[in-house]
Amino acid sequence: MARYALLKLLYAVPTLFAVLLLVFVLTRVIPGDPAQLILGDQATPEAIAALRTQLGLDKSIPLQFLDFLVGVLHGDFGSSIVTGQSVVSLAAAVLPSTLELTVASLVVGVVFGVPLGAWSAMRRNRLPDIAVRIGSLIGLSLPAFVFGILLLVVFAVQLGWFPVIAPSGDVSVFEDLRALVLPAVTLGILMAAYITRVTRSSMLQVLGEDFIRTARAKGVPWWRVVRRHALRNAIIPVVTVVGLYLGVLIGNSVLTEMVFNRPGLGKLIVGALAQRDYPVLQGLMVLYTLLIILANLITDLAYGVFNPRVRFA
Amino acid sequence: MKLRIEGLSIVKFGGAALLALALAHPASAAEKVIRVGMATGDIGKMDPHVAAGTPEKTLFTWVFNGLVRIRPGEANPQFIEPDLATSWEHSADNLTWTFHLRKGVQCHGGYGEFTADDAAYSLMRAADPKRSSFSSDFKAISGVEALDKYTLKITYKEHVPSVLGYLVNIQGGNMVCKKAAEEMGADFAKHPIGTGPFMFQEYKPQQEVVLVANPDYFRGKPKIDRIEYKFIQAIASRDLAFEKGELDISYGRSDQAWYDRMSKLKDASVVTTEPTELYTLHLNQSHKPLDDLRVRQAIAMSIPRDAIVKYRGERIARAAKSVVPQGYLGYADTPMLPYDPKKAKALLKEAGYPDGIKLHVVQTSLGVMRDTMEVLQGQMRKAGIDLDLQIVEHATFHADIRKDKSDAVLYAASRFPIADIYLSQFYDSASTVGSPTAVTNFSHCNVADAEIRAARTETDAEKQLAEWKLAQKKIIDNVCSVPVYELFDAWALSNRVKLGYTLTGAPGRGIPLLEETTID
Repeated sequence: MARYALLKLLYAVPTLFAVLLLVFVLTRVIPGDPAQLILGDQATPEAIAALRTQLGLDKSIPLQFLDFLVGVLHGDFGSSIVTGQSVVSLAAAVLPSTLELTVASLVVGVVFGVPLGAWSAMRRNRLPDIAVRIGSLIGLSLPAFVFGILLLVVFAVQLGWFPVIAPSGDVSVFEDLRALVLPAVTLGILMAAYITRVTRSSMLQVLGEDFIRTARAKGVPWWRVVRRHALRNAIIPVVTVVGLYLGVLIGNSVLTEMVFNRPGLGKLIVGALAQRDYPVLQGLMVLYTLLIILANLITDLAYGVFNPRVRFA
Repeated sequence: MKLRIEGLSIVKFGGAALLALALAHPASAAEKVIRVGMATGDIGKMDPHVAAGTPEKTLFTWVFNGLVRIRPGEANPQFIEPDLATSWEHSADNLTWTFHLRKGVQCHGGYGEFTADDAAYSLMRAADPKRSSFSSDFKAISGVEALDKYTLKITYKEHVPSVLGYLVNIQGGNMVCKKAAEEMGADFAKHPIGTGPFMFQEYKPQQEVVLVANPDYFRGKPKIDRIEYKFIQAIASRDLAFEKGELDISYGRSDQAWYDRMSKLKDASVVTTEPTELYTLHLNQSHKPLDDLRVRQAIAMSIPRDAIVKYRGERIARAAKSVVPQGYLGYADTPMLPYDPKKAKALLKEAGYPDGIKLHVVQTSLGVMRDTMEVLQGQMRKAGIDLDLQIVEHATFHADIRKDKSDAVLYAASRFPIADIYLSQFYDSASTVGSPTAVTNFSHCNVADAEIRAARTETDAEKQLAEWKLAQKKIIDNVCSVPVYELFDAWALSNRVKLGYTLTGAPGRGIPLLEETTID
């Protein structure tokens, strides 16, 4: 298994290189001058030219790319050209918050999604099924800035159970978790909707299999058939979806981060793009690609846990 | 009877809750903290000579001083008063200025006393294009010299419109401490050191900057202990956080609906501040058919200024009265062509466009800029002027309009406090985009060069005002641009905050929090 994991990570190197090359070229091809954006509209052309030289932006793109690669191989991702903070320190400052939100919304997604999906499948075309299907459709189409604000108005402002903006500084674990609830629900509802739908269709397929009928015919109680035979077999496609969406969650969290004012990778990327902060964009792309590869790896390994027939060679 | 019991229990419950809160946060009772919410995802370089955005400028208001300042709460250069300098005099030709500095002022973080040496360093730094975004404000300076520890001499090559106006505590006029800036180098932008009432303490990416009271502040130790300056990009979140009391001061949105909604909140007030941002439609005369004065006049007559102000909100905006915002030194109320779509159509016909004209306009996707343009589009259509809007993301917009890609450019800007800055950057032909000395002259205007330049070096104040007035008239008469409206900054303030002065203006954009500012 360790060999398998290592191999997967090695495969990631060319992917990483391709992603970097793409990001590097794309960011520099689109219009917009970081020097102009930093210095503002009153700066003289002389000042802008000086800053471009200082930032190394006057060099050719291949040369800039080479400089960047050499830096990366030395473990140096450079510094933000907007704030001057090192890319590593910026990413390190927000990564825990992103991981926390991702894991929490994943938990919300699984806790609500799997039982609802299974329930819906067992009550196919009856009221619970229809309700769950409509509910998951709403969950899928509710944008974070609507659902998040709604949650804030009700649970933070009216009821006062949660803070509107995440507390910063040294706060207790309890305070930290309290501030996590609403964002996790906002982002998790999307996850839950997906998981519900996948669980439902997967369950429907499994429930139609011969071994379910056999188990029923043997006289195994219904709830046991569902738990031990059906759900266990239906869960593999769900794990795949969770794995795929883990990557999407890391990137998609930007709206949730904005509404709840949480620091995070999504916000960092969007901010860096708006400011044409090349070093931050590049550094984050490396990190982002690594996170997605890691998420896929964990998914692969999870198959083995749920289905012992899966072997790693 | 029942009511009374209920009321009583609420009081009891409230009391218990308060007690619990007090126990949970033993420090909160003693510590006075003001939490400010700003519309940004993060803060940029915290170097006052570099950053030009409102989020950064707001921070500088609390950390830095100038040699002089505009009386807190005002945004008018007529209220200039001593700050780090206590007095000043100038030679008869106005070219040599001597400033006498306050004694015993301490730089933050133990960087020692602020002396004439620091002031000289700071000015040279602000005048250096390699280290400053505002170097053009100081290009007339020929020498800065510390005569002794507390005396600073500045000599000018030529007369400048307002020496003191450039030395107030905004932008390049902010005084940095030499030792700190030199020792820290690039890190200074991550840890600003000034002499102001509040000291930088900590920066948390995408979250906040924490500032603490400067115990050695020369006007006295501030009454508040700490400022938590929070970056909250989404206006809805900022509003909710303010409503719930998680913020004491919140940067608002400049529209009437926001103003009305926030005005209804209990224990809070909404304040609009000057300097305003002037929204101007610059007409690119290097593009056909805008080279024809009649076409430009038709455009000017197709814009109903008052209706747009009404749409934007009368407490938030006011109609433009010149190509320079009101309140600046040198501003002159200049009559403009009245709104008359029929006459506009006739003018277009006369110019050879009986079917109207079509203009290609590159427009940013950014909120107020974009919807102003869309309103203009709808209004101008009535006069046969069709705007073909190409909506692009903000950074692309800035790049494209500097390459002459747009027939008309809607631009919002504040260049407080002197008319010269506005006129020079937007209407002097030397500032035309594409030229080596380009700034923001998008219209290729060149009709008032003589007046703008004469006013810049005119020593007689009366004559200088007359030159500025004539420049504004010439620009308006030639319709280099159509000034539309001025937009105020809007803030929501908790009534618990006692600023210690009356707020009508904030020259540095941010609300000054001073030594006397406190919170109940």
